[in-house]
Amino acid sequence: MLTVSDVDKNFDNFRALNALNLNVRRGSIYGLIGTNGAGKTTIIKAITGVLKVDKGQITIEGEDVFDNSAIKERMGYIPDDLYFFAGYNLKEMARFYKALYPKWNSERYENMVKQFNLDEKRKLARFSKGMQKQAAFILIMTTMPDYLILDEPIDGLDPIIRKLVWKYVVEDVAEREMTVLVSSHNLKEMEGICDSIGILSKGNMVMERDLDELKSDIHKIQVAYKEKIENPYEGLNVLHKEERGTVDLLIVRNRRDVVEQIIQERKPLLFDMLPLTLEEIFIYELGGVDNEVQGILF
Amino acid sequence: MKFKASYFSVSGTLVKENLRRFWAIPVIGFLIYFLSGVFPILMSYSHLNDMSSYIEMCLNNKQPFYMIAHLLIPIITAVIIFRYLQHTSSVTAFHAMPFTRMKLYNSSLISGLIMILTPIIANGLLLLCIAKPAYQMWTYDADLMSLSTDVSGLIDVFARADILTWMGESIVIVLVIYAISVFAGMVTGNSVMHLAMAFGFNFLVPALYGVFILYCNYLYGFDYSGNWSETMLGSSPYLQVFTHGGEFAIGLIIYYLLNALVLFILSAVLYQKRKLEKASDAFVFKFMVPIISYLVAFFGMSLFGFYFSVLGGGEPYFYAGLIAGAVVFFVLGRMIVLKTPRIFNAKSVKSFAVYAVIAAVFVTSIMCDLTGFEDRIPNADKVKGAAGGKFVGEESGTRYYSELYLGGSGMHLIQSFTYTSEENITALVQLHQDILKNRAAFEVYNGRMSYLKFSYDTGSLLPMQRAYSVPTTFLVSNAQCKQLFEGKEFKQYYSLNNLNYTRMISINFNDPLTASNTITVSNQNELKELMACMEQDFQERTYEQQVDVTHMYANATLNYKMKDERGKTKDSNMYMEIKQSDKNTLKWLEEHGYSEQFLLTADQVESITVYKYDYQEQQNESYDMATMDQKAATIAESNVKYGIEEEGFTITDPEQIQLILDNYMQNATDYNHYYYAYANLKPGVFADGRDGGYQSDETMYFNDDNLPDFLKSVF
Repeated sequence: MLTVSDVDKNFDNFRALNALNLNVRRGSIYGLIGTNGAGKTTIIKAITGVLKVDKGQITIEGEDVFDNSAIKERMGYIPDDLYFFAGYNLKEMARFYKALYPKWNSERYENMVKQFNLDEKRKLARFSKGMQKQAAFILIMTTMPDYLILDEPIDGLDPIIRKLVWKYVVEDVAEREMTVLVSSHNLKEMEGICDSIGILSKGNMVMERDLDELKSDIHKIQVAYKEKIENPYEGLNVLHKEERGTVDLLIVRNRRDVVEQIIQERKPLLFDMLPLTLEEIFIYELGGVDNEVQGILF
Repeated sequence: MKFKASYFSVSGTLVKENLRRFWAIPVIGFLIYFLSGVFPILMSYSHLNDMSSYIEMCLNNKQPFYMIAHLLIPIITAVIIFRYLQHTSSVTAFHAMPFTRMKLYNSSLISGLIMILTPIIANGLLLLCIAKPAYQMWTYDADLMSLSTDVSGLIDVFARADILTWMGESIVIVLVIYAISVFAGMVTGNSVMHLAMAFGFNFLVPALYGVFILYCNYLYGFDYSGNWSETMLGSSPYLQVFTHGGEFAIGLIIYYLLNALVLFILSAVLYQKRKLEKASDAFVFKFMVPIISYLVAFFGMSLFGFYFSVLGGGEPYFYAGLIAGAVVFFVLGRMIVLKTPRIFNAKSVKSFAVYAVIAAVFVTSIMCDLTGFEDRIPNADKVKGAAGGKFVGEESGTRYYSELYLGGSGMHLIQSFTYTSEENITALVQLHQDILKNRAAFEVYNGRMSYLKFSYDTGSLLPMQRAYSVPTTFLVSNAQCKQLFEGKEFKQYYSLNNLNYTRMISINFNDPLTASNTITVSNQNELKELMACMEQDFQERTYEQQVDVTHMYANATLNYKMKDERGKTKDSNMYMEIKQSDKNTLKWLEEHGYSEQFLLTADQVESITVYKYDYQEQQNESYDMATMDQKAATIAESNVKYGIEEEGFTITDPEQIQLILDNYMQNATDYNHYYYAYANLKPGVFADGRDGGYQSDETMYFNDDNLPDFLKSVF
């Protein structure tokens, strides 16, 4: 369990994080969404023990993460801005990581290098940005981390490699109960991979939700009645309504069985439950939040 | 549960990796020491005596490449090892790895230490392996020069003890430079600034001290050549090498090592406090911003102040320079530390106001002597020991260098020899008071001055030191000076019997007018007799005889063997004057036929030309020239230019020439009014092959009192 409690972080006179709370369940994938400058990298650097917070606490399994090498041995972090030792190739970096991380898995390393098809002996500085990201991913995943922190992990990766990356992540989550925190400025990328989502804006956590719970509670429905009924959607908790001729398009937040029961009681001419994208869910959930957050969704 | 980090934890993995990554630094360091030290020695291994001076230079750390390596290797190592702190990507990567900050700091520090110490230790071990006696063959002792098998009196400069000393001193030097450079890395946010500050901080204390001394020169009586310069250079082990002796006393070594230790601990604390998000800024701690801005402003202000005062030559120029320098360099410094030219705001104005107040208080306290420095004289009752120098009159040379005598060390005249008797201390304090009373007159006096120093041991940590330029004429007539010179304490200490020598090799004599013509006394029996005569003359000499303005009888150079502080036998020498009143010495030289060999006589002189200088007359002539019409002025100016009006009075009569040779002074006493003369020597006088027609090596001077009568009628 990774917990961030009431964390403040200031850069001189600029408040980067403001009373931030965040909870990542063990064995889950948490997506941290926010625009550029929202504070994603700042909180990630605080979680990985790079930055010291001004206020609040960040713990992993109850232990403070700052300056805690025992926790860091179990944590893998791939920053957006990668760093390798000057002049080193992947093999040399692997040798260093192997000496540093007690759970280093040489077999996995060999397999991953083959699968990602990287030249071990080529200097990392000569790799493309995407290849460097792959190299960093191989190194970190081979340390068999219990906690994986990824900052914009798939930027610069082609779709095939993206799939491969997510495959490894999902497998480790499933098999080893690895806990993952992944940041992105694009909600679409997080759909289908994350168990929970947190939306960050100007250093504040705007919303934090479990996706399964979210999807089971918000529904998009089409309804048409033969005759006009007074208050036809009473008790549904309508978030959004659109009239398209005689057909009404509704976004409602309620249990599926409750929605079906209320609509069916009024004997509609047409009643359909349509699939909702994650983007739509957030648009209607967030409702009145600022344009900056809207920008994340599209 | 809070994780407790060990303060001494080190990651072997990181140390190994650092050494793997930066192996080139110790290798280059090794090669510099090897190629400039061990290699040339090996090249000349079969005739090592020829290399003795070079070996000594290397082992005394005065070899230029050694000094470059001592400075650059630790600075570059610190900058490269801690480079990861100065970039956002590397600082993130390193601190996300399973290290505590303390472990990262310790591991990096130790990696650097290994890298800077390995080249020195490796070369030291090589030197120890190849060490064999190498003797300095240059000596005054002709006997030893010719006896290649007898090396008992020669100095072995390549002993194992010397090599171990070199290793020890070199390690201390690089350790302190490295500690300062690491500290610089902790407060800076990028590598360029780290490098600049590593250099700057290494010389900051001596530089601040030096500038402070420059300001203190405005204080009447401030002794800029006293302990100050030694202290200034001694504050850095790197500069200590260039001090008078260059030795690293045990106390000094402990001080340097403590300095390094404190800096390492301070750096560790700062590392813990360091905000890693500040990587790539100029400085990572806010408190450094005003400190660096003020330091830059202070040095700039001082530079402009002193430069302007040289240009204009007055205090208004000095103050104008200070103000201009303070403004210009404060702006510059602030731009550098904030990494932006946008510094013109209320915050900067406020910061400058603070600096201006501090600077004004500092400058005012010195210029107006707010601390009462100038008038402070200790109470004679409270002085345990006191020393004064140069009241011995015009005597030049090293005759009164206290370090040359048994029990002497440190700088000449002040440090070693001190008066401890009550009456002498009282006399010295009285002399000091007399000088302060006459300050106004001394400051406008234009004549021969003596630089007189006072040093009082008042029981405090540092002695109270003062120095004054005093007219020599004032000293000649001063009763205190007479007591100080003729007293038992002075005569006992500066007795030739107290000279620190093991064997006198030779004494050279020459006439003051023909310094290049030298005769040498080297017979041991003769030397013994001669030394006895010189000692007797010194003991019988009165202060009036000591400060007599008439030229000396001869220059004497004593060449001898002595034992230094480390017990090593080495060559030394002392330059002294043989006074006209030294009857015993003169008699001995005449009886043994030496005088006629070097003394200049009238029959060797073709002619003597005497000139007169009078400041007032020259001023009047300039005024006359200025009031002439254009054409006349041009002619007169060209006459002056080509020396037509400067033609002096030439004497060829042998009797008159001898009179001049007997009575001249070696220096003018009143610079506003004096006579000067040059002797034109006959062919064959100069032993170095110069032919006749040449002027004497030195100028002869007269004043109105000792100018021969036949010349008075001429001028």
